Amino acid sequence: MKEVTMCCTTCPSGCALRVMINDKNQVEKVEGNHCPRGEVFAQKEWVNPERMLTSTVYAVMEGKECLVPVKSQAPIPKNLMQKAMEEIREICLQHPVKMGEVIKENLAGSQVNLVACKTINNKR
Amino acid sequence: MNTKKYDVVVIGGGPAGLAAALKARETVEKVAVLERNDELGGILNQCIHSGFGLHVFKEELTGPEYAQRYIDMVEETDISCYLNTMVIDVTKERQIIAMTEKGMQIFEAGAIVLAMGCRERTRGQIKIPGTRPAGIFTAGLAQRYVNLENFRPGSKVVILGSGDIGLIMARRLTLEGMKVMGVYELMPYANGLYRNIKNCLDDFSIPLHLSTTVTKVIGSQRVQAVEVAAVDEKLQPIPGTEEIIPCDTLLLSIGLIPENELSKKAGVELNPTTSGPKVDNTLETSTEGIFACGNVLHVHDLVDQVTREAEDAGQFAAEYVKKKAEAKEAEKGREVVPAGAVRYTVPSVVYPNKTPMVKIKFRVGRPVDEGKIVVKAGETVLFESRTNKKFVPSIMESISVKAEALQETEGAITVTIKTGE
Amino acid sequence: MKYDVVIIGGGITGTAIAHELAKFQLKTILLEEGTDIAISATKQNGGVIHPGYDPHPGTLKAKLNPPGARMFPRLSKELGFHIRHTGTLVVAYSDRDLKKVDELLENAKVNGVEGVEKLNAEQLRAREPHINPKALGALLANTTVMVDPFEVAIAFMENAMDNGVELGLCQKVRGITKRGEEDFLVCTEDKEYETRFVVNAAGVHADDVAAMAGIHEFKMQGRHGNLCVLDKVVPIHTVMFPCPGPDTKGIALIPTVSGNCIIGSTATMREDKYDVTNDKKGIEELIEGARLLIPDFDERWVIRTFAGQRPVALDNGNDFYIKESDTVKGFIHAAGIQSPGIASSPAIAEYVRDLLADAGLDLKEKPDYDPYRKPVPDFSEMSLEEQDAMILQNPQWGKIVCRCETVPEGEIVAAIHRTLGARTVEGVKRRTRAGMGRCQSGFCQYKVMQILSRELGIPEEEVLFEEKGAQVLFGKVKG
Repeated sequence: MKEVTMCCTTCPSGCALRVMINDKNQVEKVEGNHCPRGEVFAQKEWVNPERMLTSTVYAVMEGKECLVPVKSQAPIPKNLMQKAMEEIREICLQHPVKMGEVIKENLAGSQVNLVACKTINNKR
Repeated sequence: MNTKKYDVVVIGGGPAGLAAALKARETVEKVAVLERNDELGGILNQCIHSGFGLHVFKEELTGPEYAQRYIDMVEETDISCYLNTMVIDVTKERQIIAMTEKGMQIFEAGAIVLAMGCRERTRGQIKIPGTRPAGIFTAGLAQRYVNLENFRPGSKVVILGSGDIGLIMARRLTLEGMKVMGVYELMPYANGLYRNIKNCLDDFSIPLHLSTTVTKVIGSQRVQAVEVAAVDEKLQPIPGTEEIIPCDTLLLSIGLIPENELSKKAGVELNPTTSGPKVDNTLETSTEGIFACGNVLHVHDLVDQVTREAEDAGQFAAEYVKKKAEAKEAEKGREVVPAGAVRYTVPSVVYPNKTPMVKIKFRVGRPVDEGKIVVKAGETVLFESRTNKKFVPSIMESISVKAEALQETEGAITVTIKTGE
Repeated sequence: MKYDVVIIGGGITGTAIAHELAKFQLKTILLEEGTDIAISATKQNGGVIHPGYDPHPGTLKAKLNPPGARMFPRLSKELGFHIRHTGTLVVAYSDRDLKKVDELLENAKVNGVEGVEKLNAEQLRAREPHINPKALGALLANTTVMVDPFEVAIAFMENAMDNGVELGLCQKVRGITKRGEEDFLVCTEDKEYETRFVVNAAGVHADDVAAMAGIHEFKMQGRHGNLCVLDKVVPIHTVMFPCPGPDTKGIALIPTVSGNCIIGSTATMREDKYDVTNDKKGIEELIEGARLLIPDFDERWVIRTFAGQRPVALDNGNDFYIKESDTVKGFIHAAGIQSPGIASSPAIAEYVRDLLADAGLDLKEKPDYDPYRKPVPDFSEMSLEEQDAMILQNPQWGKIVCRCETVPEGEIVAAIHRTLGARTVEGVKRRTRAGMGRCQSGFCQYKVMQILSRELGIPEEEVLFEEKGAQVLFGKVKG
């Protein structure tokens, strides 16, 4: 059994977690969290940390260049960040988008979709 | 030039302005939002990271999504939104003069809600010595370039200040292929949220140097390097600790200041600590019928707090318009005074008859490891938190006190942090 | 075709000379190494038009400062630059200081400066209520006016150009050869200019330029000074100096044309002529100096700090060095133009004109010379009706760019498309004040970039901040 400390990043409160790891390298117990999400976070963080990815994709609408803000619909494994960014850089949108519209399915093989965060018609 | 009349005119179409307008519209008929930019949403449009809306929408949204939800809500109402409309003057009589592409425009308002937001502190304010080359940006300007304008402000970047915008930008620049050499913070503690330090710096192995500052900018045309140095407990650079960090760009994330140039024109009295207006428990400024909310009032940590405050301001502004006909009984205001570790409070004055509950928001000026919030009127304790907790300057605190509890008391209301027994 | 005169250096001195020579039938060009004029000592000072009460009688400064200063009100009308009447106070804190005030009064009389008087403590406080209560009295020079030095230089140059003088930007002079009587070849990196006369107005580099022509008559060094710009909240109306010490004028509080204030300046000699870095000690000295004048000075008023080098001709009694070279005829030095250089500049220009005439230049007046210049309209100074009319004519004037200084897009476009139009972000700032306010361009720089890119027809990533090779941006993120 060993104890590690980590900061829960689920919400801005940033609870300081004390996480007990058993001999099988599994999370045994979590302390210091002010809500149940802390425990879920600790589990994931120890096994396969995940993060939300936000970025922009390039778009050309009616001859005008712009950037469309996008996000991964759910957190994706940290080790896929690089690959995801490479895929994002490849995209060139040519049509108006609505907030929530899927821009790319299965981002970097994460099973998570990339979605638009803003409704952009020909205006901008 | 024609004149347009509204019950409530909200100056600023960011998160504060939109929430205030929506709330005001629930009570009064004619509401307008004046926005200087070509789109609503304010600075949220460039804050493409997530972390917004946990309180208001119970889910984690990106800035543009949070803004879009409010824009969609406003578009479902008959609130008039004037884009590309820059207010250049506001009078005590609540006349607003604005410039638009169609000409100068005058608005007459039953009540005004100030929601102009804040601006970033600049190099001048902290007086960083050295040259003045290209390549020095405030973090927000760099954010605008990267996230909206599609431009890289540099390639090798040093960030001064560990405020949230600086931390978020460290991650953004790294993800987009720029090299962040390090984040330097004058204070012995980080100014941003802990989770941003972890997610934005630690995840990308970007070093955070506390008690260290930029002491010189080097480079005559473009930034070539910055000199950094450790500081002592008086925040003065320690000779001999200087180090040269080669870079082509310096980002400043050194704090925000409420933008109150218009407020001053309307004769609104400002609080020297927050640089925002002095308001009472209805968020009314010292100029009758002019209310303030959001970052123009005091800088908030979370947009959710801004929204809540703005809803209050919108509500109170609308109620003011409705009640104006009724005779007002004169009431003596009770001053709210920050004491001890508490640096400022909003409101600065309370009229107990105006609202049943008095919301008091405040920030500490220095970290307090363990303490309880105590609100007193004279010697009477109005509020004391049940448990001890930690207080840091980067987190705004908020409590409520029943107005009737003030009835039997006299004198100023003090807000302080009680430590140890 | 051969030039009559090549002026080297586009600071206040060079541009004033260009403006003066534009009145005559001459072929004149001004060569400036920067991407814009007025980007060295001229933009790096307080902009006080000293009336001339302090130069020692008998010096060139005493000869040129009072008449130069007296020309400003007329020039401001003709050339359309801003001017603000402030007066100067030289504040006394001791009996020794009061004696100094008397000396300055006497000096003013000898130099022929009018409107100078002595105030007692009470009169001083009535004029400036925030003055240090320890002040015993002051000298008041009523005729002091304030200008934006770069606005004056731009006005000089634009009017000169409208009257036929040429301007070569990015023309750093690399070599000067005297080939014969009234025959010089001036070489820059990419061009050569044949000319009959050379005027050396190269500021702190004037000795280096002279050396190119084989002239080693004087040495230049920079007197470095830190300055601070303050927000438009400082409660004073008059330029305020302490009584001068043996070496310097002391730290002054200077209300500017635009309603800001400047604290200026420290004074230390520097070996490195390019060193315009601020130093912490200097800034602290400025703040201390400001606090001595008005004790309720608030450090949070500071919105910008900068530094400059005043060109000092060494071993010249701290005086201007304006004369034809002893060794190379036809080569005129207008060097060592330190304070009160801005105030003296129009008189220096006339003096140089006469030196050129003495050296053999024939001065025939231009019949069609136009002394007037129309400035870029300033939106923030218009009445509501004027603003409205301006927008109705062109909607760009209703589109805000710089909110701190109320500068609309139309004003920036107008400042780009002019005889001497803005080409850089800093050039736009100097001409329109966009980016000069309290946010220091945090909100408007990207808009200025878009406008410069569009109007100049270049990609945004090529738009310069100020100097050649110093772009603001490093290219696109995506696409």
